[in-house]
Amino acid sequence: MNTSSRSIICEHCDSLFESVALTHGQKAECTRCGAVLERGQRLSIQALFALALTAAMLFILANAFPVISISMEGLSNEATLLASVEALAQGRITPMAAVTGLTIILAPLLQICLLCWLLGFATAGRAAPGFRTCMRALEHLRPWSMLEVCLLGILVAIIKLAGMLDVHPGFGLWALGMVTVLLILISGKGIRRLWDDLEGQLR
Amino acid sequence: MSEPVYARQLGLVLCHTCGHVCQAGEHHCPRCHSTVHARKPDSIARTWALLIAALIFYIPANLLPVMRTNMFGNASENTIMSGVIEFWHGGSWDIAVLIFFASVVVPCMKFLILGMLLVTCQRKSHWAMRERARLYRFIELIGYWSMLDVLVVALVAALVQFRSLSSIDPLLGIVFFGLVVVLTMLAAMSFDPRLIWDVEVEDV
Amino acid sequence: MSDRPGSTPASPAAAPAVKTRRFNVSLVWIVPIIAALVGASMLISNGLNAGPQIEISFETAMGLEANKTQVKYKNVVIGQVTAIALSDDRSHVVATVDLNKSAEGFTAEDSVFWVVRPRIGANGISGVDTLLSGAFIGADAGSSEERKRQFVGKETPPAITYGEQGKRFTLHTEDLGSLDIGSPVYYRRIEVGQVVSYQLAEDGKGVDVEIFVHAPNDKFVTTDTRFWNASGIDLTVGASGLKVNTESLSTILAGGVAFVEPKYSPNATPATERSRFDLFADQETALAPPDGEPRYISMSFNQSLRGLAVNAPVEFLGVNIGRVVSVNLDYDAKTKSFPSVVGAVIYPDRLGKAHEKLLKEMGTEDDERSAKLMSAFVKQGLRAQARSANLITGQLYISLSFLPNAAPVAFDVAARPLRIPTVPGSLDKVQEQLQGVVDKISKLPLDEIANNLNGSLSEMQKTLRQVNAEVLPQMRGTLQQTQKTLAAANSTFADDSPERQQLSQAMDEVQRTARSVRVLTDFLSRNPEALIRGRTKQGEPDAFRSPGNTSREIQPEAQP
Repeated sequence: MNTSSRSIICEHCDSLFESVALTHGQKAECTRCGAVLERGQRLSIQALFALALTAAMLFILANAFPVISISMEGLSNEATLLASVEALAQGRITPMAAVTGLTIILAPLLQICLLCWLLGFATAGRAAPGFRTCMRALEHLRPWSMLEVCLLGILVAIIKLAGMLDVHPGFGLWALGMVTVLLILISGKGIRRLWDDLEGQLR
Repeated sequence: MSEPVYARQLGLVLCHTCGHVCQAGEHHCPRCHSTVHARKPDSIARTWALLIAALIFYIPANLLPVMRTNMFGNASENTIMSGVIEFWHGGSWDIAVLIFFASVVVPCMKFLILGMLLVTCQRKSHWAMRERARLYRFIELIGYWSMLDVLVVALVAALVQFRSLSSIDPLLGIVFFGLVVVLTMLAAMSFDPRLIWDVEVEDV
Repeated sequence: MSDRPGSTPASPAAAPAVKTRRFNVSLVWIVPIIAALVGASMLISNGLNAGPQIEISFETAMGLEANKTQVKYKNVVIGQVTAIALSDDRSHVVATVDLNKSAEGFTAEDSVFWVVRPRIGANGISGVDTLLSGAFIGADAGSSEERKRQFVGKETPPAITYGEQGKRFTLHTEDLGSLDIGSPVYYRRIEVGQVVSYQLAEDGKGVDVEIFVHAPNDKFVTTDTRFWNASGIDLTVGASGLKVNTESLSTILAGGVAFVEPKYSPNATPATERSRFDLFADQETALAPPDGEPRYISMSFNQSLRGLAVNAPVEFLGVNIGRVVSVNLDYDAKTKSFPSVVGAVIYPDRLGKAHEKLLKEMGTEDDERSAKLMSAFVKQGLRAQARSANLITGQLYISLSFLPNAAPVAFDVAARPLRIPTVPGSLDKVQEQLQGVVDKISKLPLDEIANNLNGSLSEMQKTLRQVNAEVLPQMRGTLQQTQKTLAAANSTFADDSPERQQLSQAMDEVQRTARSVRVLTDFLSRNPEALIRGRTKQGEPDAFRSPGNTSREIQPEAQP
């Protein structure tokens, strides 16, 4: 009947609202349950695409270079993110290696790839091939990307080992930090604006 | 102003994937073609199942050691709690508090809050609905921080591998703990918070 | 709050011209450009730092780990192992090594690579730090101009690395003993080199040991240097007692070789590289002058030769001229006894000048002549004896000496080996003397002495009894008396005894009297006329008041 594309339904309490144009810094809240409905977007599609490309390059660097290196009495060792995942891949603990690999490498990687893909086409004003699949995949990947926890975990590991050994943060750590910040900026629910922007191109 | 109207009462359904407002009878969202459900399917049953499974796994997760530290010959196995206590005694009380919060407080809060939400929803209680909704958003927010301990163990085990001098190996406890985190996350994802408010809609 | 779409009132203001930018490129593109630059610079710097890559094959990859094991030269890291793989025919292991940029010189054709693992070898335990850090690959750069990419690694470190100066020599010896690669070579107890390698001699009848002596000490190895095996501890319990001789502690563990030039080497020239020498068993044999021809003799003893071992010395008039070679029992059917037959080898050259003079007398030395010489000696009284070298260990040695009152013995000149007649050894004499002493002791009148002693003892006993019975009680009485007397005297002289008081009173009186007399004499000496006139009123002899002046002037006084 009347499917107003300018309506929003709160996903926490099922209340119906009208969509309002928001500038950045503003957010629309549900009056019944207080959940956030929408946030104002500051960045343009182009800016988002640039940030996605940056995140891609930095993600490669974050994985190529070790995040921490330790040394003790002339012995040294260093670990990349992949090495940390492999450290769990022994015997019965292998399932955890799969989960950890998913959360800190696979999910962010896929997110970045999909975002670059989608935003690249969106900058040109077009809907990327497989738009729907990509958008749905992004939605499913969002809760499983845990780079912030990874950063905090690296910090805790540094502090834990600093007592016994010499610990040096590697270049990968800085790259990882920046990737985390960028992903927070670009991979939130704000990507849903592409549905609105490119609606005419679907079918 | 008056309370906003429920979408259900107007025959409208939210598509979780793209946020599109769909008609009640549609099975697929016209925009993103994903399946549309009025409420998350079997929300209460699934959430109970996942929560109880997580609770069962939580016991070995805390009893079994998560990490074996072999430092210059003396090997010691640490459970999560003993690791926290070791940090506390070692002087880094901030890390101890952090890990205690992430590994013990957060899962316990998730258990309690989800359990409470499930019970109140099943009893169709009108009690403190706005606060319950806020609690649900809270555990959705902090849920995934429990993975902290798993990542710390992974990093430390990857770094300290000096064979005879010192080495750190992960143990079975970490599997159970990781499973607890994953299961509670799935439980929170499968709980539909709209059930809290459904008591106000008569024809449920 | 939900809003109704508000109606926008018509604006009276004019609409401005809107211009859009042509290329809508926002400033945010700087961010990826910076990231790209940073990433590229990191990757390029990594790539530039890469040095040459080589492959080294080893027998086993024990201790080697991909991406961990390092290549070190003089303890400086020059590369790292990046991959380890089995060779195609599975006979060895190929390690791919990334060398540093600065290590270009190590790809020379004659570079040597070896694995350093903990080893317990001739030089002690080496490479202990590899227990902690894992093995590493040692390298030695070569000097050739050719470059190679594939090398065959050694399993043990080379004894001498390139650039070491010195000379190699070959020593020939019967068996290796306790020598090993790395065993030290000593000159005057200072280590100057080491054993580099060894192998069986070509005919299999010995071992060729190759040693390396460092410069500048290699010039001390001359053409007549003597080498000997200085391994272990030389422990000799011989006629001269116990002797312990060792080169150094490491030779006990690892064996060693020592050398020195003989003292009487006149023209010594430094030996050339790879000269051959003989390796003697110990210092004495090495430095001894050459022994000359050996001669074999045999002796037959009728006594027990317990304590005579093979290699016991044979002495002629105190000079060691040979050693015992065999000790056997023989059966003499005629006398139905078992004499001991001792075979010995003697080196007449050891007699030095005596032998030279004898040779001059005899002409050339040959078998017959020396047999004749021996027969002459025997006629003069040369006899062999088994004498005791050491009473504690019971060792015996053979002594050849001239005994004047020896019974004549027939000497068979043609017998080979020459048979030397024997007489009983000095031990028998000792036995005789002991026997004599025992006889003398047995002749003593021990019975009489014992009886006398007995009588004296019983007398003494009687006397003592008497003393006990009579003398002692009297003594006791005397002592008691003395005690009483002493007690009385004690009480007399005690502090509060009346006698003491009386004594003190008497003393006081005497004192007073003396004082009075003194005063009187004083007075008199001042006033001698008082003797006649008597005392005046003024002068009281007790008070020493001067009458105003002490002059002796007669003063007009009021005289009664």
